[in-house]
Amino acid sequence: MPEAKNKAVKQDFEPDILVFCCNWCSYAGADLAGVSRFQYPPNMRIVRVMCSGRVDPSFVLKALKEGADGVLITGCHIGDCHYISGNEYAKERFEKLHRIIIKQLGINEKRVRLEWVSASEGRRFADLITEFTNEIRGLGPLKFY
Amino acid sequence: MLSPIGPTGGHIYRVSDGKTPKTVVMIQCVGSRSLKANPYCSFVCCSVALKNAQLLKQEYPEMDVIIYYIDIRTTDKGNEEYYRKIREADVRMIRGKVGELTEDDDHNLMVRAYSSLTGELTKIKADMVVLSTGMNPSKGTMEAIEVLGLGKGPNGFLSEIHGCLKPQETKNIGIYICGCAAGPKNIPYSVSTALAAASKAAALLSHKTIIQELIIAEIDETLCSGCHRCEKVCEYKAISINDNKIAQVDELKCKGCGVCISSCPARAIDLKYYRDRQFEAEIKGIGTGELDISQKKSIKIAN
Ligand code: SF4
Ligand code: SF4
Repeated sequence: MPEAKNKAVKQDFEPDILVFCCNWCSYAGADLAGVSRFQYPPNMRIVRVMCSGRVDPSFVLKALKEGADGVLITGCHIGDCHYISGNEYAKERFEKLHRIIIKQLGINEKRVRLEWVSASEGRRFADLITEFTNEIRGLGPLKFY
Repeated sequence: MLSPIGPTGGHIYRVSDGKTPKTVVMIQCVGSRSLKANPYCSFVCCSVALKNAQLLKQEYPEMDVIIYYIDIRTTDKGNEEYYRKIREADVRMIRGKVGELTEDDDHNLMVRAYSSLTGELTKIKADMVVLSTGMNPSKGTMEAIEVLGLGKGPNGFLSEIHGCLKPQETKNIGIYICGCAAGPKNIPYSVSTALAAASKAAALLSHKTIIQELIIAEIDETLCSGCHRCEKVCEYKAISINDNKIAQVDELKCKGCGVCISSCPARAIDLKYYRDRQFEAEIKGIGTGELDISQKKSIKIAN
């Protein structure tokens, strides 16, 4: 089921974005972005997981299936994982997710991204969400047929 | 050798022929701070070499003492004083790495090195050469890592959970590290880490109970095929395969990260309070209600 290339709807399109945040770094980073009142688009919703290594590829697929136009997985920086190396597994799994599933489904690889955001990077979190939202907005809605 | 209760009673002589050396060369950073050997600094050798050089000069004022070094690092309290005193004590300091060390038939040694301050090649005939060899993790450290399932840092020493915030704690509750087990340290530093480790242990033991997170992995025994995958990915060694070839979670060791869950091909593991179906419901909920994509749904035919 390749992704449809329908550019017509792009104009007033607001993407829906699902963000997986690990409990220790990225979620705290998102919180910091909030309390510091950094602005970012309201298109995303956060699902908190204990560790980025908990994010099963099936969650990503489920999110895309349930209507998300983009999925962002965030975790602690490599070497800073609260659970020592959960983020390394996340990275490994993410690469497999891309190499095998996302490509085979014909979904644009840019729609699913893995990023590291630490608890002190509120600014970065806001910038990342802004940038990702704009990128997905540019790609248009995700459609399956 | 310089110790009054040491093997030579504090007297310096060559073991080979009993001669008291007239020229002593000390070479720093042997096997340390080099990408070919130990990449790290062994922390104590600079201060020890300076101290020994000073003692030699006190004991044998006629002796020539030469130190080859890369940089002198006298970081800890009071160690800078050694450095200052050594300058007054007529000890020659040559900055440069030694390239060659040869011995002739009379056990005399020839040290050749490039001095990076003067740009000259130096050649010194020495009666005795003292090497400041790098500090390595002991064999026991390796054993402890294996038996107890502790973390190993990039240099082979034990690794702590967090170098700054939890410098004594390992990933296993109740096991603490101190002294050179975690990396090169001098005596005061070792003592203070030992005290810190002891107080951590005391804090743990002062409670009658251990507070355990309830977020832990749970195995569905009917699904598990005993493939050992979860066992390999768990950093805390909390999962093992039991005699029935079924994975088993040690509830005290499990930290609830969930890494095992997404690695299980049989989907036999779930995390209490963060179950797969909870996430699925959350994702579905966000997709259908929260983000108001119901209008768009009409053009999305998900299969
Ligand atoms: S990964 Fe899954 S199937 Fe394999 S041993 Fe662990 S629980 Fe059992
Ligand atoms: S949840 Fe994490 S700590 Fe617990 S058994 Fe699984 S991998 Fe090990």
